[in-house]
Amino acid sequence: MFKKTFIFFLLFYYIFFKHPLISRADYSSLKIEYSQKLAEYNEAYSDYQIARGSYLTYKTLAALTQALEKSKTYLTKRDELIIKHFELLKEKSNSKIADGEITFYRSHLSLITAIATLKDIETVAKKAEDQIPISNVRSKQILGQILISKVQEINNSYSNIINETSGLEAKIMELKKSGKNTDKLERWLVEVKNKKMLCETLLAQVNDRLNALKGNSASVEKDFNEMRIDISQANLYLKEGANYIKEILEEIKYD
Amino acid sequence: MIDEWGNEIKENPFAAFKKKLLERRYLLAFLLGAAFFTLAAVQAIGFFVNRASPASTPNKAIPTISQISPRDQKKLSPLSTESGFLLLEENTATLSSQIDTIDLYESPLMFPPVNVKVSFGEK
Repeated sequence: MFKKTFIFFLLFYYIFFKHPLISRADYSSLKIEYSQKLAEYNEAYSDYQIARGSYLTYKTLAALTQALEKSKTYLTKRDELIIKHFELLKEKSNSKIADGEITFYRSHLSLITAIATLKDIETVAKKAEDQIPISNVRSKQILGQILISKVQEINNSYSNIINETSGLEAKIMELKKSGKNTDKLERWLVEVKNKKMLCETLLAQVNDRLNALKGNSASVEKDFNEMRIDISQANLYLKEGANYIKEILEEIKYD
Repeated sequence: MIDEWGNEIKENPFAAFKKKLLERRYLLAFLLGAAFFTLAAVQAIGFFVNRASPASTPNKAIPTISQISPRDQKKLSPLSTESGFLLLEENTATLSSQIDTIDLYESPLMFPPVNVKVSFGEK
């Protein structure tokens, strides 16, 4: 009886918590898995370099066997790391591009098992190496979209607040009619709307540049860093706008 | 005097110490009291210095209506006590904190540096 109950609970636990089709990994656990994959990749890369150096120096059968084995491990770990990276991006963005990349590297993994010679290794490795710069661009496009959508979300809240400021406009007009100098308040209110426009224009520009992103590794990194700065600037516009609203409220509060 | 004290300790150390403590009890009470008052004074100075220091309030924000004292609230304009105004104030404060805490780096999501060519051509 006890044995049966134990087996039942074990099966229940496996099906609902461990089976990959049912359990859905969340972002934080994926991040931990990614860190583990990165550590495994670094170790495999180091082993590959040692084995390669040893084979090119001694050219013995033992060195060749070792080089084959370590290279296969390195290629496997590299594919697994890239797959985990795109899984992480997918968790944040649900991007279809990430799906395509994951499929590519999964099918590439199956090629590694069939490797028998050093020539095979170079051929199979080249397939991934041709794809890696493309994957790098796609990864940056997804990440860029994630960052843009974060600022856009804040911009939506900002827009809602602007809609709520219609009462403030009426109040400013009221103050103006009563003979008070409201130039400063009116200017600030215009600035509040300007900041929204500036933010949206900048985000649209970054979006276009992201879609057109291509080129070699160095230029992609440079372009992406510039886009990151622009996305931060768009966020800064909203911050300035929010500060203007606060100032207006403060002025009116003690009127 | 010291010999007498030494002999007493040798004979019965506990009784000797008890006697000495009783002889010096006023001095001990005074020292304990002084230590207590010094500690209290240091704590009080620290409290007032921290309160007065601008460093203790680095993120001084504009106060919302609820944070203003009842006396100051009397000076507020009629509009500022309307529910729309309060909501606007609350929403702006929330928005500001969202803007400040947004993570626009997401370093773990950067593509890993894996572009190493596998080759056995040359060392």
